[in-house]
Amino acid sequence: MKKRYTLIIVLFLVVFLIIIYGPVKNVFLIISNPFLNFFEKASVLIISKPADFFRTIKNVNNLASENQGLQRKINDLEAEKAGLKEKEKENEILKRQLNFVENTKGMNLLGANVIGRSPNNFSHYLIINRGEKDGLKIGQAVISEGLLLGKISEVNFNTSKVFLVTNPTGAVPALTQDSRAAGLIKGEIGYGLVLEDLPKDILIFEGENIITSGLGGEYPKGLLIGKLEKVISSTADVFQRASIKSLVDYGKLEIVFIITS
Amino acid sequence: MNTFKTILFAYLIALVSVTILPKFPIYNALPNLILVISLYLIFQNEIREGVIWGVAGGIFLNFLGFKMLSNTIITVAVILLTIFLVRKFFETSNVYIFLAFCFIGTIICSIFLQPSVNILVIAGYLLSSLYSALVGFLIYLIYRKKYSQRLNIIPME
Repeated sequence: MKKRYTLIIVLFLVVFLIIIYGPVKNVFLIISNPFLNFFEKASVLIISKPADFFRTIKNVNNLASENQGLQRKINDLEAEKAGLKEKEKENEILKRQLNFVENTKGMNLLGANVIGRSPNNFSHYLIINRGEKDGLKIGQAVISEGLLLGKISEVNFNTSKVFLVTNPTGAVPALTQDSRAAGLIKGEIGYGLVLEDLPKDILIFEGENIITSGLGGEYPKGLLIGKLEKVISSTADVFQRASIKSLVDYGKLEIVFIITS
Repeated sequence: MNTFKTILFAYLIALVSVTILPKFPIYNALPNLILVISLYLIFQNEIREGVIWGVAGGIFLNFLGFKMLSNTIITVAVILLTIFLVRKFFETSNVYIFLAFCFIGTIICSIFLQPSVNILVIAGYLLSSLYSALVGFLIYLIYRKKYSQRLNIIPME
């Protein structure tokens, strides 16, 4: 009996030495990369599609009302589109006049595939198929469809770990786009987001865009994070608090972009 | 099952845990697959395989992104605690005891990996634990015929 426990302890120590040996981890990830890719692709092809199908069946009752809502939205968007078209033309003329050169906001982006995710709902991260060999560095911001996802928290030879903004242990300096109230975005369990420490004297509005404020230099200024959903602080609170609706479906992310400069 | 096979399967399950499993959340909660399978093996008297599975699976999950050693330490701790408890207090066992260990084991792992007193986080612990117990029950159902006669735990010597 004692021998068995000694064996376990020895095994445990060996394991400890292996884990702290960084290159071993790198080799492991290099070997695992094709398997991770394969499993991720297989899960999208085989699992996500039927899951979407069953989800649709489950939501069939809501489809009629959702359809009506979407029709209304389409009408609104059509009207908005017409207005924007006019503005686009106006903008084109102005750009030509100012000899303006458009360069995608001056950002250099590097595309990456998502090959893994956190296996629990406590540590929110993604694993992507870009690493040291692609020039990635810790702290670089990661976006998808123009929305901030998080930052690179770990770089291995050919994979990296993306620390999501929804991670409860992180905070992102943010700004309400219209009312210009500055606060901190914090993650919540289950991919929720909360905007905290907002000054009480500034009136904030539901539906406002929440963008990065650029404070601290960790994230570039002006990246969209989500929309203000609801003010959740009480009148007795010193600061305002609001829940944020993230516009990203973290479970379905397949391609992300890293802002390299 | 020999050691190599056990480690290979643990590797596959670790890959599944970070790729396929996150596509099946229940209210954003996910089960602790490595722990559940380790506990199942222990409850089938496959103590050695259970421990190897837990150690290997924990290391693989650490390599795939968890904080250094966190997963290995807590998985091994829960497994050793389970072996001790079942040998000391249970002469025979049934599926309910196994599921209870899956539930409590997942709670312990969750608290260790993300300590918090936030009510939503605690709700997350409970949901993950229930999900783990559900997965444990599914594993039990799949292997019931093969293993039902062996679902007895060796009493403490």
